[in-house]
Amino acid sequence: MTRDEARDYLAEMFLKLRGQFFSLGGRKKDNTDATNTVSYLVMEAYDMIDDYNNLGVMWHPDMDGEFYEYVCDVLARHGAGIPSLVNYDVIYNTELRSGVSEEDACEVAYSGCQWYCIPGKEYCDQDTNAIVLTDPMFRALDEAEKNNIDSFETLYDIFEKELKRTCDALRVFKDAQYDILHLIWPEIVTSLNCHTTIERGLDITEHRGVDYQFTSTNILGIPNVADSFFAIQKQIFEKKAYTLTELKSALATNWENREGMRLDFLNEHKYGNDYDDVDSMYVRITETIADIMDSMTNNRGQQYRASLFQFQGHTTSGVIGATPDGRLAQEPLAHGCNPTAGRNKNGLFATANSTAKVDNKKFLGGSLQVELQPKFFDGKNDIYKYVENFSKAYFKKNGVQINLNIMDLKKLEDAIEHPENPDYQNIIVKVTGYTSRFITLSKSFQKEFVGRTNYNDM
Amino acid sequence: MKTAQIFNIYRGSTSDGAGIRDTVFFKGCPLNCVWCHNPEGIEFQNEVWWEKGKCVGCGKCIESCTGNCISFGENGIDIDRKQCKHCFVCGEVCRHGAIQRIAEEYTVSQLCDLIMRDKEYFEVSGGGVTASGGEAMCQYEFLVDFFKVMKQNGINVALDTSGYCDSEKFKGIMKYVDTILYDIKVIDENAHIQFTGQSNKLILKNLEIYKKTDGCKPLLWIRTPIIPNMTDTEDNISKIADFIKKNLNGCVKRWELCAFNNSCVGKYQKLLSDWKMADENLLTKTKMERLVDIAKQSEIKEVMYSGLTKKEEMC
Repeated sequence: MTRDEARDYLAEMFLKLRGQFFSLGGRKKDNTDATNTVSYLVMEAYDMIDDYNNLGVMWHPDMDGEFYEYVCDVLARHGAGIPSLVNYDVIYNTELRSGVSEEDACEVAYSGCQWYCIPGKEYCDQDTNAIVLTDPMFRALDEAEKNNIDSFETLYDIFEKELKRTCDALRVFKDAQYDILHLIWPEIVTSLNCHTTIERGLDITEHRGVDYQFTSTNILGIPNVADSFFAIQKQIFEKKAYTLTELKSALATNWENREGMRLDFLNEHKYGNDYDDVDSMYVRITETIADIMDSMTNNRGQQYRASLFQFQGHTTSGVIGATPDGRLAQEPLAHGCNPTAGRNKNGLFATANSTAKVDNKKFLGGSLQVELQPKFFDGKNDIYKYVENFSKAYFKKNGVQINLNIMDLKKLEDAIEHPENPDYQNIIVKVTGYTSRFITLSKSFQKEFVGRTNYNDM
Repeated sequence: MKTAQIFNIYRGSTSDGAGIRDTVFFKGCPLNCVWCHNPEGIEFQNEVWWEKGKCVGCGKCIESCTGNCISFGENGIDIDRKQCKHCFVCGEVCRHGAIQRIAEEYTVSQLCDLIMRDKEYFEVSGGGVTASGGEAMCQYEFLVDFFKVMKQNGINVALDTSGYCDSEKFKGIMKYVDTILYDIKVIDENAHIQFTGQSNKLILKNLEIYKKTDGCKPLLWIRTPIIPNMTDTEDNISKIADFIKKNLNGCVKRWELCAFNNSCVGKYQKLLSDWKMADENLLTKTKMERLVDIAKQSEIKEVMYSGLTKKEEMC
C-alpha cells in the first residue's frame, strides 16, 4: 500500500465511523517518542476531510517537533478543536498513582472526551458517574447556619464531612451496580478485544474481568463551590457584612430584592484570574476531593479517581439553585475545571495558570477549554505558532489537556437563531471533550457555548 | 519603596518584541499624539474612567465623591477632572464596576511576582517582558530595579519607547535591555510638534547615542505608526529611511510599519473625551506595501507592516 492509499483509507474510515476516539503520540516502553508515519497519516486524513472527529494527540517534551507543529497547524487552520492536546507525562503519572504497573502505564491512551485508559486492560467506568459538589455545600451551609458557627474553618469541616457522605453514597450505589452489571449489560464485543477476559472466562464488566477496574467520577461545580466559599469567607467571616442566615434566605429566593448583596458576593475575587487567594481555595477543595477518593476502593479492590471535568450538567438551568458565588439559579455552572463564564477577566494566561495550580496527576483529567475568536489573530500570520507555544508552556506547567476552538462568535449566535442557513450546516465545535455539529446541540448548550469567555484581543 | 502606576499588563502579547511576551504599560507620557492608542496612559496622575454600559445610574459615585466633581450629565455622568482629589472612593462604592481607577500601584517585587508566573510561555517561544506605556522611561528608577530582577531570573527584556527621554537615562537603561523597540514617527520637526506636542530633536539625538555604544547592542527595532494624512506620506517614510541609513547603518534589526486602526475608540469614550480620529478608516494593503517598498531604501533586512488593512474594491 502506498502512503497516499493508506491516508485515503483512513479518511474514508473517519467519514464512516465518526465520533470514535483515536489517540496519537505518547511514548513507547523504552520512553522514546511513539510518533510514527501512521500518526502523520491520521492527521493528514482529517486535514483532507475536515469532518467532525475525536482525535487526541499526546504531547511530551521528546515528541517529534515537526509532527507537533503540523498538529497545531491543523488545529489552528480548522479551528474546530481537533485534535485535543493532551499532556502524556501527566496522564502516565496518574495511571502509576492509581496502581497501574510501569509496563502497562506507558500504554495509556486518550480514550474519550478527556478520559485516558490502558487499552485492552481497563474497564472504563468513567463519565457515567458524577458528584454534584454544590449538594454537600448546601447541606454544609444548612448545618452551619443551624449551629450558628463562627469560623470559616468550622464550615469547611462540615463540608468535608458532607462530601464524604456523598462519596459514600456513590460507593454503595456503584458496588451494588458492579455486582449485577454483567447480568444486565455485558459488553461482549469489548470483552473479545481485551487481554484477560477470554483466559479468565469473564466479561469485562465482571469482577476481575480485566486487571484495571477503577471507578472514575466527574465532579461538577468545583469552581462555583470555590468561588462560593471564598465569598463566604470574605463577606461573612472576615468583613462580617452579612450573616449565614441572610445568605440562606437570599439563596432561597434566588437573590430576589437583594441585588446589592449579590453583587458584593459576585465582586469578590473569582477563580480563573491567577489570584492566589481564591485559587488556593480551589486547590484546597481539589485536594480534599483527592484525599477522600484516595481512601476509597470499590468492591473490586480498586481505586476511586476524581475528574475535574463534567461533559454535561453544567447547563441544566434552574435545577441547581442560586449559589453564594453570586450566581443566579438560571445561570449555568462552571464547565469542568474552567472558570464560570464571564468571571475570568485577566486573559487566557491567567485562566490557564489558575487551572494549572492543581496537582493534576491526582485526577483523571481536567481540560482547559479555550474559545478564541478569529479576531484574536487579526493581522497575524503565525496562528499555529501561538497555539504550539501556548500549549507547550501550559503542559510545562503540568496542565493536562487543552480543547481549543477558533470560532466566530457572531456566526454562532446567528446559527442559534437560524439553524436552517446552509452556511451553518457544518460548523464543528469542540463542546466539552467531544466535537459536534453546532446546530445539532440543544439550545441550552448552544447558549452556554457562546457565553463562555471568548478571548478576542491580542 | 519604589512604586509605579501601571495601567495594564497584557499577558501573552505577540506584538511587542520576539516570542510571547507580557507587556507592562506604565502610566504617564510626555508626548500627546493625536492618534494615541492608550489615551488612559497619558496623564501621570492616576485617574478614574467610566463605562456607560455597566452604569445603572444609581448615583452612588456622585454621593460619595469627596471633591464634588461627579454629576449626572447628558450621556450619563460628567467628571470635572480638575476638581478630582484622586481619592478613588467612587470606584470603591460602585458595585457594578462602571467607574474604576485606571492604574494600579505596583512595587517592583509585586510586578516581578506577576511576570514570573508566565515564564514558561516566554521560555517556549523565545519571549519575555516588554515595558511600554505611556512612556516607560519616565519611571526610570523603577525600571532599572525591575529590569535587574528580570535579568537575574533569565527573562528577556524589551523596552518600548518613544525615545523622548533624558539622554543619560537612555544610556543607563541600555545595559539592562535585550531589545529596544524605538518609535520614529515623523522626521520633519514641525510636523512632529504638530502631531505629538513635542520636538523630535531629543528622540533623534538619543538614537545617535545608541549608535555610539558598541556592537549594536541592545537589538534595535524601529517602529513607525502609519497614520492617515499624518505619518503615511511617502516623503516621511523616505526621510526616515534616509535617517536610518545615514545614522544607524547596520544596527537596526527590523523596521515595522504599524497600520492605523481605530479600535481604541471605546477608551476615549470611557475617558469622556472626544477623539478626532474615531471615524478614520483603515489604510489599504496596497498603500502599506508601497510604504514598505520605500522603507527598504533603509537597507534594513527585515522591513514589514503589521495590523489590519482595509478591504479594497475590485475594479
